[in-house]
Amino acid sequence: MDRKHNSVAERIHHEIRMDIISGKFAGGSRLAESTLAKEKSVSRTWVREALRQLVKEDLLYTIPRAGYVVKELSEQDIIDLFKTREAIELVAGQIAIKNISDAEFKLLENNLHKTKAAINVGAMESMIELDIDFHTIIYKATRSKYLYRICMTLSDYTRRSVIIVPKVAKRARRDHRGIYDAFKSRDPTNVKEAIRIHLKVVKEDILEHLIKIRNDPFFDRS
Amino acid sequence: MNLTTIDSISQQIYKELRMEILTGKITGGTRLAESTLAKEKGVSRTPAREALQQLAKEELLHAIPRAGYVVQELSERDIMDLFETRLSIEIVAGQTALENISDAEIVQLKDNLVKTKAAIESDSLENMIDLDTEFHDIIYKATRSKYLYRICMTLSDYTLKFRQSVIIIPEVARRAEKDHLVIYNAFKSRDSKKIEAAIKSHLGVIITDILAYLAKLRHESF
Repeated sequence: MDRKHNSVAERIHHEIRMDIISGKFAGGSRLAESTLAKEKSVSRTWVREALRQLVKEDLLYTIPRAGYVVKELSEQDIIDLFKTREAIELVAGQIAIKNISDAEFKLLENNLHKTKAAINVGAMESMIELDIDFHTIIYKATRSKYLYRICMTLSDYTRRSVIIVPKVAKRARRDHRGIYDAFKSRDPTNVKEAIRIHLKVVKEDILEHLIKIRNDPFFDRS
Repeated sequence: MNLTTIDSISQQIYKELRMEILTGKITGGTRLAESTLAKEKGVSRTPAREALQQLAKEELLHAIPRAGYVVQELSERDIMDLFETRLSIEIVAGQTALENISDAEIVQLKDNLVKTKAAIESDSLENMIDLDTEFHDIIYKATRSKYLYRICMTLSDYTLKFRQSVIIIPEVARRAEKDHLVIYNAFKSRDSKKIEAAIKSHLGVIITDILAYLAKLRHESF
């Protein structure tokens, strides 16, 4: 999906946000205004504005006189988050199946094709964006502004600690295909099952990854 | 002034303004400007601006280029969407709470019912909204989920103005009390099907009440 960024601040905000969500900036990392400004060749004002926005979104917190730190989710937080996301996505799936249009099915198909291509060339950034888009199509099909917003928030939260590795991306694509087929069958039980399987797998991948990096101080995050 | 101070002032302004909008003290369509707000609250323009931006992000305000902000007006469709979303989420919360609710919390529900009954019998319906909010809050907390709790609280806040308008109608108050008793009994019997049915029927009736109230308002305005 094309995202238009009206201002430099918005673009910087989006870039840093993606870096946190994708795990490039892992939980606990320090972010400094000056370093980011230099890296992105923009003034510190833009970076500051973006960072403060991310604090409001609960992705960063500030330490007085020391700057910004990427928030780290505990294992319990992640389990809570996924349990909540699963419950809400099941509700969204049941409502979406009643409303999803042929045009939206086309969007899902398109997304599956592009995801396959992105996996083949190993384009990480695209894989994440495509994953977000896939779920967004379903959230929109609920035709509920409020449910949509709740789903988006939860999906953003669950992504922040994920480092997408090709293995995860491949499995996610297979699960998305399963969700797509379930919607096509127009069977609420199939939709429920497909969403449940997908989120269970993602949760396990994240927890496994998290335990690995927390137990290994020399883990290479790059 | 350091950043932390600006943040806490803007948070305070944000919270005040948010409640004024959610309780209907500031009505939909009202214009809000940074400079007027800053003067009114006796703060500088930066925290005023940030509070307004945050409310706009939450979609309680929308920005008009070069003219400030306008308080969002909800259409009847939005209101329906809001209450239907709340219904779906409260069913999830009820089911989750059932797995975790403690005996102490069941006693809290009982206490709340006793107070509610007393308020109705003594015709002091001005406390009804707080008692109603408290009843639901006990259930949200019993979910033991930080994320689900936050979602429930947001929807509870967003529906406040409407719930407040109808709960002071004696007939609505009496029925809400009866519904809460049914929900309480469902928790006591630890029956998940009963919880779902009780919440569905309680919130379903409230939607009807709100729609009747809105129709009456529209009728009166002509």
